[in-house]
Amino acid sequence: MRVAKGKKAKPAKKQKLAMTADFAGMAGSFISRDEIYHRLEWYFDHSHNPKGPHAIDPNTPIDAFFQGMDPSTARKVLWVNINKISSTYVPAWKSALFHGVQFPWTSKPNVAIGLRDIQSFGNLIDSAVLTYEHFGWHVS
Amino acid sequence: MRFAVSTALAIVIMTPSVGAAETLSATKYDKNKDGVLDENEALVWRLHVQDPMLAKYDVNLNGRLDPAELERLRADSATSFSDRSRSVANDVLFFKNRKIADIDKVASSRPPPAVPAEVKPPKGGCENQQRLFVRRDRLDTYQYREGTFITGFVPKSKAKGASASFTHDDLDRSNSATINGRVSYVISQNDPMSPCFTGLPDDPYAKHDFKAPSLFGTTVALWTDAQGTINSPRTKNEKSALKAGIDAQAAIAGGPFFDLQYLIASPYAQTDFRGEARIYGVTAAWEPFAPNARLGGTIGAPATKYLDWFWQLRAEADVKRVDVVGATALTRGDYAWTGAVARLHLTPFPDRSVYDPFGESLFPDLVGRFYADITVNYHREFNRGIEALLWGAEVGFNITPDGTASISVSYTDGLDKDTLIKQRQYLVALNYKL
Repeated sequence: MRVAKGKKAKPAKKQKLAMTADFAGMAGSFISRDEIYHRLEWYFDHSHNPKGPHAIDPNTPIDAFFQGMDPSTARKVLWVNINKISSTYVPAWKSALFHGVQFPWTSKPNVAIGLRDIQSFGNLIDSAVLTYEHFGWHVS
Repeated sequence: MRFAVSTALAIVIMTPSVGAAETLSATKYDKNKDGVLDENEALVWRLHVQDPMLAKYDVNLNGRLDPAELERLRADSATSFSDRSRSVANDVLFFKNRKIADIDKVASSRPPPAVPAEVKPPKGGCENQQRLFVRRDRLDTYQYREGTFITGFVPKSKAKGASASFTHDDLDRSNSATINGRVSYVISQNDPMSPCFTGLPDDPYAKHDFKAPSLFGTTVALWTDAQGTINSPRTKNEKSALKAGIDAQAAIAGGPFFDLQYLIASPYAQTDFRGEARIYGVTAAWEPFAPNARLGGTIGAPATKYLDWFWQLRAEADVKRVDVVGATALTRGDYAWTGAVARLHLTPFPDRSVYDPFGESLFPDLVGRFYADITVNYHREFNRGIEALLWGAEVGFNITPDGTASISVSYTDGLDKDTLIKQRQYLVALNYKL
C-alpha cells in the first residue's frame, strides 16, 4: 500500500512526543541529601530558610511534630498529607515539594522505611532518601 | 589519597587491641599438626591474640600482613567507612559549620539516635491483643486507636477511667450507688496501624491515590455504658442511663478535603439502673482531620511563637425512640438530634525548640504552661423543635511543666441534650493526669 510522505511523517511525530512525555515523568534526576533535609524541614516549618543551616535535629522524636494529635492518628495523617503535597494542595516551595515521589507506609529492609515505623526526624530523612532512590533519583 | 588510606591502615593496625581474644584457640596455629606449638607458631598465635585485626586478616598465619591481605583490609575498611558515613550523614549536615560552644550545648541534651522500629505482633500472638477497654465515656474509646504502635493500644494516660461509688447512710437507712463508666470489647479490628493487620500490599511503594478517599481500617466493638445514680429508697432526683450497643467504625484516608476521617455508627438500647426505661437509638458520628487547616491537630511548627492553636469538629446524628421514660428526664416518643461539637484549643508560648534547638525561646519559663479552650455543642431536635446549645470555656495553668497537674477555671452555659437540664456553672478544678 502506498502512503503519501506527509501522512507517514505525522504519526511518527506524535509517537515521539508521547514517549518523551512518559519518560520525563519517570526518569527522576539528581538531588542531594542536604536538599531533601531542607525540604522536609520546610514541610514542618514554613519559616525555615532553605539557604540557611539545618534547624531540626535529626534525633528529634517524630512524635514531637504531632502537636495536639495522638501519635497513631498523626502518623496516618502524616503519611497522607506528605504524599499529597503538590503545587495545588499547598503553595509549596518550588512547586511539588517532594517531586511527586510517594513515601511508603510499611517498611522493607534495605528498600523502604515506612512512615509507620519511623521513630525520629532522621529516620524520615532516610526514608525520603530511599524513596527518591527507588523512584530513580540519584541522591548524593 | 594513597597516603590517607595508608595512614588509616596504620592507625587500624597500630590501635591497641581492646578486649583482645585471650581465649583464641591455638589449634589452627599448629601448622605442622604435631600437637605442640613451636616458637614461630607460638609467636604468631600471641601476635594474633594481641591484635584481633591482625588475626582476622593474616590468613596465611605468618604474623604479618602481606600485600593481598592488606588489599582485603583496605577494601573492607573502605566499605565500612562508607556505611558508617551514611549512618551519620544527617548528623553531619546538622552540625557542620556551627560554633563549637553551640554544638556542645545542643549535643549534650539531644535524645539518642533512634532506629526505625518495625511493627512486631504483640506477645502471645495477635489473638491476645487488647480487646477489653474500661473507660469513663465514649470519647475515651470511640476510635479504639493506639497511642503508639510500640506501647500498645488506646493510651491509658490520655483516657479517663471509669468510676463507681457506694454510700450507705446508717441514720437514714439509705443506700446510694453512682457509676460513670464504659466497658467495650473489640470483636473485630482491621487497623493498618495494628501489627496484626495483613491487608497491605507487599510492595511498600505500591501506588496509592491520595486524592481519592479510601478505606484505611475498620473496627467493630460491643459496649455498655453506665452513667448515673441509683438510690434506695428511691428519690425524686434519681437520674441514670444504662446503654448497650455496637460501635462500627471506619477510617477513611485521603480525599480532596480531609487527610483522615473517622465514621462511627452506634446502634444502642438504653434503660436506667432499675431496668424500667426502654429506649432504642442509633448514633452516627464523623470526625475529620486536616492539619493544613489545623483541624483535628497540627503537624509542624506552631502558628506563631506567641500562640499556637488547632480545632476539632465532630458532627453527630442521634435518633432514638423512648417507649418508657423510667429514671430519665426524657419524655415518651421519638427524638431525632443532629448537630456538632466544635472545640478550639489555644496554647500561648508554644514550644519551638523542636524546630530550632539553636534558637532562643521567647519566655522559656512559660513554654507549655498556659492553655485555653472553647467548646460549643449545638444540636437540634427535629420532631419536637428543641434546640440545645451548650458552650463552655476553660483556662488552665500547668503546675508541672509536663502538664501532669494543672489548675483550671471553666464556665458552662446552656442546655444538655442528653439530660435536657439547663446548666450555668463555674468550676475551679485541680486536675491530675497520669
